[in-house]
Amino acid sequence: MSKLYWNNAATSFPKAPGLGAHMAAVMERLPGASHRASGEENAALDARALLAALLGVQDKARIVYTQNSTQALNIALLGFPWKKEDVALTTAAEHNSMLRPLYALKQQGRIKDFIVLPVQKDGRLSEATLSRAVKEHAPRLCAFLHASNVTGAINDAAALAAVCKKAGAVTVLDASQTMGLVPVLPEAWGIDMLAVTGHKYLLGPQGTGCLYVREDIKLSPVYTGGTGIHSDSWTMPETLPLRLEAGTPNEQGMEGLAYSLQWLAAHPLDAAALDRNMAILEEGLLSSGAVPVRVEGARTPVMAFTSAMPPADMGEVLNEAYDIICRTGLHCAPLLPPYAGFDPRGSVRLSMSRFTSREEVESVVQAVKEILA
Amino acid sequence: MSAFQVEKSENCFVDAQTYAYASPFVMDEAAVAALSPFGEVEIKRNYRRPFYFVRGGGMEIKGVLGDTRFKVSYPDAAWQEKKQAFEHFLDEEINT
Repeated sequence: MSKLYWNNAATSFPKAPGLGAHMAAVMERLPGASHRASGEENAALDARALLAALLGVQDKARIVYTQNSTQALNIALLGFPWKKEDVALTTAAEHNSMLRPLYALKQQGRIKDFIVLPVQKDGRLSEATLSRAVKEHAPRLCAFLHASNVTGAINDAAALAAVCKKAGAVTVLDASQTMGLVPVLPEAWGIDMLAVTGHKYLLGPQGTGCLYVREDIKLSPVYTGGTGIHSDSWTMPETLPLRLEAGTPNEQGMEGLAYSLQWLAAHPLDAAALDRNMAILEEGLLSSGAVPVRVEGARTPVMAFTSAMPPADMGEVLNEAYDIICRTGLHCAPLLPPYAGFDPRGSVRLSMSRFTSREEVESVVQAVKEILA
Repeated sequence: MSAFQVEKSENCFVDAQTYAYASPFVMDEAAVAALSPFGEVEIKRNYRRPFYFVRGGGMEIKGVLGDTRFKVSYPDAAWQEKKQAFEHFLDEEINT
């Protein structure tokens, strides 16, 4: 029996149909990265332009290629022109890709502190909490995720960014979990920097992503090295994207992502079908005696649950006895458990994709029922 | 040299002491029953693939019945001693 893959919040599978063949063809083509001075015109598909269009970004030069959201967030947070007295705000729902760079900044004495804001049980940051916090702490920067990778709850990023802007703080949004599922529009929403990964719901290859940087934010490069231009200078070029793109880029990967972006544009998401599957899953988990995190309103196809069985055991049994691949534990969001009502062992996370069938959902529900019977 | 293979199985928790074992014999009902010195044996026969748990003293052994692979989680305290004792037991079992 084939495995059922329910770990799409980590990495999506399957990918956009035809991606493998496209990438194989790209690998047989002359590379362009070794002579970047001639630009990206060698690429049949321009990922930078496609990402800018998807994000509603006017100038594609503001799109910096990265390996993933983690690298994007590191470039944004570690490269930001901090002052030692600065305070940053973040939330208890964040992934370690946000928390660890902030912690490193504090440890290095580059910021005074970072404040972790409480979240609701569904993992959302409320406007009221953020409003109180910006008044209390006068942050230089607020960094939060668009959707929790554990609960799937989507934050109202535009409303939160408006609170930050009013307080004079820079906003960093981690859109790892939402790109490919819902619109993400940094310039329209007033987001100053945005981290994107290609390997989740954008259905692209691992090792692809980007950072959007608003025009008047000047980041110091975290990485320095070859750029293919201005080689006679000791320092990185002043202009984006190359200022933040040292070294030979993942040209083939980014073209794979471009292929996926085109496929997504040609195949709009059936959000209603995903919602139906999520409702079946939630009802099934409840009827089996499991306790899923209840999420009202906008959400991604991710559901975390706990039960009488420890999460690690549930995951092991689902995988080994039922061939259902899921994720258990903290999901790299170590501060969330007490807010979501989990004990320190965390939860089991089931994350489906646009390709998940109703039959697969029913199989998973049946498995959990048998396990908890 | 041990007749089994063992590898640390990392997870979310820094202090977790979970190890994945591969034994040279299949963990059938008799083999699982032999683990009773380490805790209460529970076999879940209603699972698609029958699964066993052996739990006691903060230690847990789990795996699919009929497979050669299984995992053992040792308690935070005195895990080295527990691991050493279990692996000594495994060696004895394999050699008899």
